[in-house]
Amino acid sequence: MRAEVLKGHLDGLLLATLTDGPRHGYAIKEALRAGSGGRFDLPTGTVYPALHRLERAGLIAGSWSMVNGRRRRSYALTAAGRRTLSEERSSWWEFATAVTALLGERPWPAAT
Amino acid sequence: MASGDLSASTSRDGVAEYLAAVTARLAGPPAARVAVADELRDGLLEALQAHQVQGAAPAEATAAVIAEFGDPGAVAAAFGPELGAVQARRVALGLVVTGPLVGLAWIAAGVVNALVPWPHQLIGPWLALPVVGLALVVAGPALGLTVATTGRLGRRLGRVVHRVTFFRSRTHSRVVIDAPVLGKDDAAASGARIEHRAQALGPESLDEPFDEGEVGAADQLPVGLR
Repeated sequence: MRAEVLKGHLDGLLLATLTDGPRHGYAIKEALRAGSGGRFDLPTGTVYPALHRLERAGLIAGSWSMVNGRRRRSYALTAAGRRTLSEERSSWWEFATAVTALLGERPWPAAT
Repeated sequence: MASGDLSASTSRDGVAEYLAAVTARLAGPPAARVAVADELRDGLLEALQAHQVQGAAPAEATAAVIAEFGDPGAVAAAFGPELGAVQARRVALGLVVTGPLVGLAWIAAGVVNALVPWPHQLIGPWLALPVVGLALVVAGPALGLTVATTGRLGRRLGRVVHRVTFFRSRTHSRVVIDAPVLGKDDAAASGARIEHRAQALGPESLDEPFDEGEVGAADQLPVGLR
């Protein structure tokens, strides 16, 4: 999938990885990769700034803990984050349904 | 910090070098930069561990992790707007706190001047009063806007305000970024644009005191690498 297509949905996708509970940055990135069957393999270093942006917007809340002697930051969805995620989900379904109606036919094998 | 010590093995050395390359390019308040470094370090070690668990040799794991995290310049640049917003908010809050104190000092000076007869009356403060009022009318909402838009309120205030914040936070981050960091092509271009915008705002622009305050601070920001 092209990068610019993903970009518009990155916030929603990041929020979605936190549905099952808090995760730290690397686990969020891994959840994106695994959940998309390896299609969304973002540079890990740029996932963190995106998380900070979501946190500043109040959609996720970060907290520090000590794990094996090193500081670790975990993120959890806030109430506003859950609302935004559910809005993202419904707008995605609306969009996907419309695009599927127009583009959704499986490509025919090329005529020979 | 036994397992948090990156110098424990050669593969960690490579990752530590990468982390140093990213953090050296970060601009913003020291505490925020330390927090970013800590978070990245944890992620790097986590990634390193994941690769080694899958059976990669230390050198392979290091190379894979560094490739996975991406170019240090790009990573630091991605943090730019976030750290810039933190900086703008911090400076704005500082001004909100110190501004009234400066005003009180001027009023106290005026009162003392009125009570104690001087050979030459100090009339400057009184002449300046209408200007102070004007400055407050401009500065108050501008500070409020900066504080609000760099926080979580920003998202609710909509697109127009968001653009203002973007401009403002870019202005401040331009100020705190060291010259070598600005070597990036787009950073140099945006610097020129922002200077242009700052001129358009005029000499009474709020950004002036911001600039003076932050140029000095930029020199004393050690990156908190441990």
